[in-house]
Amino acid sequence: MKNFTRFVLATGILLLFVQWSFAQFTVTGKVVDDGDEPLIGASILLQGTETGTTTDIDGDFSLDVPGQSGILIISYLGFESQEMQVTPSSGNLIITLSDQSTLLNEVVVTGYGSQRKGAITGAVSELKTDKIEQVPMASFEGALQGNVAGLQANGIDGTPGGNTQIRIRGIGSITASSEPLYVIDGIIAQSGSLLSLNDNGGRSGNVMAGINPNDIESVTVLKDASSMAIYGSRGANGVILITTKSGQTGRAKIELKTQVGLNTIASSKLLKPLNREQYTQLFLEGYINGGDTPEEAQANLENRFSQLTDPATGRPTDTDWLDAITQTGMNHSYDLSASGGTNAVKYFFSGAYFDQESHIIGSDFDRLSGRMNLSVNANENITISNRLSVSNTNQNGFVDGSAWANPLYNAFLLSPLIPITDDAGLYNSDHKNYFPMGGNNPVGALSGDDLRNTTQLRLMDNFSVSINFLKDFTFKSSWNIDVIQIDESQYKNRRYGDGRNSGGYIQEYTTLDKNWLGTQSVSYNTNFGSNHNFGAFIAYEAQENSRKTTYGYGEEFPNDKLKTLASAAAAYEASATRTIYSFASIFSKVNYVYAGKYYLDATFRRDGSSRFGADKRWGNFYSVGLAWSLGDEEFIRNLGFVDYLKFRSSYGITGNAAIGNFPSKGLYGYGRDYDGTPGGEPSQIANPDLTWESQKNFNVGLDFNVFKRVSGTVEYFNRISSDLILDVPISFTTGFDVLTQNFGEMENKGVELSMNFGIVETPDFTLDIGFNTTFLKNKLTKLNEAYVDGTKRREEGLDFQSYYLFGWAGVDQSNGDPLFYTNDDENTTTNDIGDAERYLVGKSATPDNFGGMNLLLTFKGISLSSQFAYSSGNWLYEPNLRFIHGDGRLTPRSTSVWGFENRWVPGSTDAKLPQHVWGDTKGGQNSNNSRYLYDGTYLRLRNLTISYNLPTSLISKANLSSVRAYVRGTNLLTFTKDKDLFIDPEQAINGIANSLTPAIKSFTFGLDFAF
Amino acid sequence: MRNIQSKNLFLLVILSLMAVSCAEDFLELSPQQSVANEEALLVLDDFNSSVTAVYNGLSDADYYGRYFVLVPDVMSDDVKQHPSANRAKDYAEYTARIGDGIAEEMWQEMWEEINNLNSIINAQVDIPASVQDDYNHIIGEALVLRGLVYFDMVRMFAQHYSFTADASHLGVPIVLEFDQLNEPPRTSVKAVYDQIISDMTSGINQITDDPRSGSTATLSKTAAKALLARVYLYKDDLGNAESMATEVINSSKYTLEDNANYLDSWSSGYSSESIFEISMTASDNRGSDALGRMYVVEGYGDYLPSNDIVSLYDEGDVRLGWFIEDEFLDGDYAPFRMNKYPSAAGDDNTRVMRLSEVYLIRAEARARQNNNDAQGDVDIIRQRALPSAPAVTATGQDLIDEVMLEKRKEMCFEGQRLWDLMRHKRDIVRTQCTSSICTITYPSDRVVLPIPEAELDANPNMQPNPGY
Repeated sequence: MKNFTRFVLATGILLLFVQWSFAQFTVTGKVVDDGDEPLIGASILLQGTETGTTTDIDGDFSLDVPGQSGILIISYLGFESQEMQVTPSSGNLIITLSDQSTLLNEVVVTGYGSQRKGAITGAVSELKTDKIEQVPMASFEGALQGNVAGLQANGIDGTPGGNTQIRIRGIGSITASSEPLYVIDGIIAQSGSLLSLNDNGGRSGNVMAGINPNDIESVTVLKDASSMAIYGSRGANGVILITTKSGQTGRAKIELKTQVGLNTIASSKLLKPLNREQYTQLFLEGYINGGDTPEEAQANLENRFSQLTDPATGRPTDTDWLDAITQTGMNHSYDLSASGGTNAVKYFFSGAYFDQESHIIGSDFDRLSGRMNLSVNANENITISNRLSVSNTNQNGFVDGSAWANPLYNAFLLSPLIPITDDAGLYNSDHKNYFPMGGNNPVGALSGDDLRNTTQLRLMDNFSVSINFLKDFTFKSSWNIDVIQIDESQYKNRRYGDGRNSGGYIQEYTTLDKNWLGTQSVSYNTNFGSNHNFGAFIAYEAQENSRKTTYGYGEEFPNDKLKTLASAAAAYEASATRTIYSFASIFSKVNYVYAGKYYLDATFRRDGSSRFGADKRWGNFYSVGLAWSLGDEEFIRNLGFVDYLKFRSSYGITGNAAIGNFPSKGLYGYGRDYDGTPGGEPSQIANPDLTWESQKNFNVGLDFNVFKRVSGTVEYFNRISSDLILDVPISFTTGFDVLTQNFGEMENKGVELSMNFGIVETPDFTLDIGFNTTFLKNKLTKLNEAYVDGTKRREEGLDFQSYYLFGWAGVDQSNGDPLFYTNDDENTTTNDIGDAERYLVGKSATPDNFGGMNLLLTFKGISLSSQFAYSSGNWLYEPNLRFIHGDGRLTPRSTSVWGFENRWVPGSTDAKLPQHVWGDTKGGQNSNNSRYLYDGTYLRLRNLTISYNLPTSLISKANLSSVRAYVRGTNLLTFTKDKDLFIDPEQAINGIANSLTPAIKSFTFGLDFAF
Repeated sequence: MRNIQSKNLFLLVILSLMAVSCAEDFLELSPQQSVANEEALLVLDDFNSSVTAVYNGLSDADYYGRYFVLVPDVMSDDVKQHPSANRAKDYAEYTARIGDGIAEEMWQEMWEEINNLNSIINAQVDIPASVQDDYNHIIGEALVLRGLVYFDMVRMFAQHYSFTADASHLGVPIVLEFDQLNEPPRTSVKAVYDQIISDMTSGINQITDDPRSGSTATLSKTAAKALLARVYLYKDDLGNAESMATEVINSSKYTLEDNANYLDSWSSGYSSESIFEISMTASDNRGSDALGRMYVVEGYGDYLPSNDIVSLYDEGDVRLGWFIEDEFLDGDYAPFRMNKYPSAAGDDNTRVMRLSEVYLIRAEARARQNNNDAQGDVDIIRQRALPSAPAVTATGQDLIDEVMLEKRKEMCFEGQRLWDLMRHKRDIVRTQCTSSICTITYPSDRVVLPIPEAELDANPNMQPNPGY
């Protein structure tokens, strides 16, 4: 410290001396890398003196040079140093440093700034635009799957524009959200589903689908305390930073990307519905097994089905409902962008249209989007930047899950003896009189008789001004807004299905979500001599989010052409709700680098939020991280084969504030109306101590690069989530079923490994292979008492997602009875579910291991890239199979061909389903039954692209700078371990399938032009 | 130069801290669909809305909106299952388990209403003299409702009063104050009945005869007496049952619908004989939750009237109009559907108490006291439906049987039959039976619902119902 003071003093005196003694001139300039990216904190030293400075956040510097000339030494860690003669006439210099190793000197966007990859002490993964652009999916999140170690991204609904569930290093909460925080160009943004109306449990909507993936420059995933503690009470589930593209200095670059493709169902193993003969046989068998004579059974059939001749064909009715609702969908994408810039102004503009049709009729998504990213260097000290984007999305879909109206559910349950159209050529509704399940007709509903439309308008703006002041200081003020408006309409027609008893009905919902965020920060960066670099950052931030929903309902429509509320004649209903939350925060980050080899950083954030209980309103979060660039040590360098080696570790405390807006207040809830008068009653128990969940996060990692060919990262992490909000069950006699408390504790630990092999690297031919894999162990470490939650049992010492079920022991081949294990010994079986008990079946929805592989092969202008994603050791549960494979319990619903072929009939020796009896009372289809549990292990070819860059000689005449043509297959191949898995293996993180839309397989053809 | 920097930095820190301290207001936000507990029960309007919410709770599908009426009926002998029956099927077949959702939801719903009523009854407020009467009426209403909810709960989750000689068998807990840590044990059935009678009696002393809603959708003093008459009957306190019923009949506030209008009176709410009914309006959006939708073909059509009940009516009995033929039914399921709740939209009010039942309560109380005036009470109901029916002449046990028969015919599908059988210690015999079980011999542990597993897990003092 003493030396330091002396150093400062000496420098100051020297500077004064220099200033007063001689004539001098000022040199200004900018230090950039090969890619014109500014180098922040590069050191500029006047040769032979101790006079020097560092570059600021834009890579700019200014230095007073005594006399009439001098030599500057420009250096930056990991880059080749440069010397340059300067004179008073040198003007504004642009100094390009070549990096020693491109990989390690890439600048990575991190929380509230960016860092050179080599200087990062935390666990940070980055995905660049090449992995995100032109993926034929509505939102970018699908591109993360299998590409980022430690990150699980499951498309939980194959419907176009559907949601993706993301977990970073496991599940970190029991009842609060485990979704990561999304930050778009510095805006802590809304993510997931904001739908209000029949949102299929959040599966069908995703506000991120409003972001054009082609506009994204990079996605950074923050996974450990050192990287995410700067987000304090919202960092615990990890952070996804999205940075949109900026213009680069240079001539304008105009790009047009076009794409067209075909969409079908990815999984080839889905169930098939019965045909006429099969169903008829099953129908009769079900009655005969129930004790009827064949004549009585036949009479039942004729009495039941009154449309045995299909009016459309005149032939016996034989409807394949699944075939009738599936199609080959099209997708189109057109994207025009312009970018470029001068020293003063940089710009990126884009406009795009994306359109995707599902493999299910009547289901599609389209997006129109525009963006303007502009940055102006007003003078050498002031940078003004604005990033503005607008998008409009439009989605048509349907209700999924176990709703009768779900076409992917009733396609199996509706009898093939029901025709699609009636005598008059209308979509059939006659069967509502003789077939249960609300007389749904999925073909008619999806062909325009019903409507389920969602539109979203999203506007985001990020305006900031940075001012360099004094020496080494930058003040930055950011003003951000994110506004989302969602309009949902659901119409159910008058003739059949859910609207049949109300003369048709409409539900209309509007959600307006407004989010503003202001961040004021000061950063400081300086070098002391050549061995010390010090940076500091302090900021104040405030954020408020408010949401309003408006709802309207009406019944009795004049016809099924008019589908707006204005045409409803009766039973009008209206409602509106508002909610709000706010955050205020102060945070700081300091980092210190010694000799370019030893890194130390620390982060602190103090968060207050309206969501936290009055007695626990403010929380402190922090992290410390350190890194040691071993590769720069003599003893490693002497080994010869190690090009880079860095050890790093971090520890810290973050929080999870996704606990709802008012969880701590004792409340009376209203809307308990009766007979037209308003009513209210106690709705929530007060708990002023209720607050954020916290997490201790430890990370240790090694980054390496050896033999110039092999690079990789290996990490170990341990997340201990505590104060987890638990709805502790209390006696119902209190009037409540649960008391919400900060109580639980859970641990996620694991190992991540990412490797990349540059096998061949010649100018004409390259071959790169990479993979990443994550081994994850989750364990509940503290609960007040074990409890059953649906199919799972939450118990201390167990994986959070451990299935707790009745043990299915198959079929008694002697008589077709269902068999259950009596207990977890699995020694004795019973045909009476009443004698069986649920137990932990030793399986979990959490994968043991997941990850991905990729391959890139280029030969001259041709390139082939492929990517696989996989998950292993996770188990899936499909509750709707209780009904689809229901052994006849629900008369007279149909089943699948698999169910038909594997049912027990006299003489069976390997039947998988019990005897079919209408109104079955043997209970083989009891819920929470391991009969419907499947090994979810799978491997999927997510992407296979073959592209060709046309030779320049061919295109230069047309003033084109590049033309690229490609074919791309998405989800082309899917392999599953369980041969009886008849659902798409990509399901919700909790493993519950529930008849959702299976993933899309696409074949696309694309042409990209650059001018 | 460093000094200037330090000073700036210092200033910035100060500014930031100031900003943070200003933030307290910024962070103090209130929900906009809910009201803090402390502000929820202050003025008369608050009491109005709180007691209204209790009725809303009663109208829930887990309570009078569906299952509280449906479940005892499907356990009894008037109903047969349609092959598509799904909901409550486990009760129809006596296979329900301890974790059953219907039992849990019903239990939870009832306790929510108890808590709400306790909050109303226990609230300490200064009410202006000008609205003191209105306030007293609401408190009276709340007391009667608390009695009703406990009565419903003890019927559903405990054996009937005379199951043991001194009614010392397991009832339900009695909770009169909110305590989030409360883990009460069950008290005896006798203690629960004592609480019910005490609540209803105090309520009757406070409540006025003008229901707040202006209709029988909310309680009045006479309605409370009718409910109390039923409680006395179930307690086998026949003298009090008779005198309470007589008070209601003599109040002349209600008149029986006549023969010509009787059937139609089921198509709309608030008939002239309605004493207390649960209002269902279009804005309740009952849809498939409705009780009637469990029977009508436009709904689930899960349950059908058994010939056991349909065959009891003589030709010409206006009540045969409750059964309509459905050509799509065949075999044992043919031919009728039950149409006492005909609304396809599910908007039928649930009748909780009507004058016909009060006559039959009095008839039973009188018959069991060997008072042959019971004959006249039965005649009133029987001849209203079939004017040509001969007057009742039976006496003694035969007269009691006549009362039981008439009550079965009059009150079918109103959720009472099961308890009438139990109180009279009779077997449940399903002659035309489409279930896997056709006779349930008295006594049976399974005629009451299981204490929900979740309650047993959360409350170590809670005793389970035997047989589950």
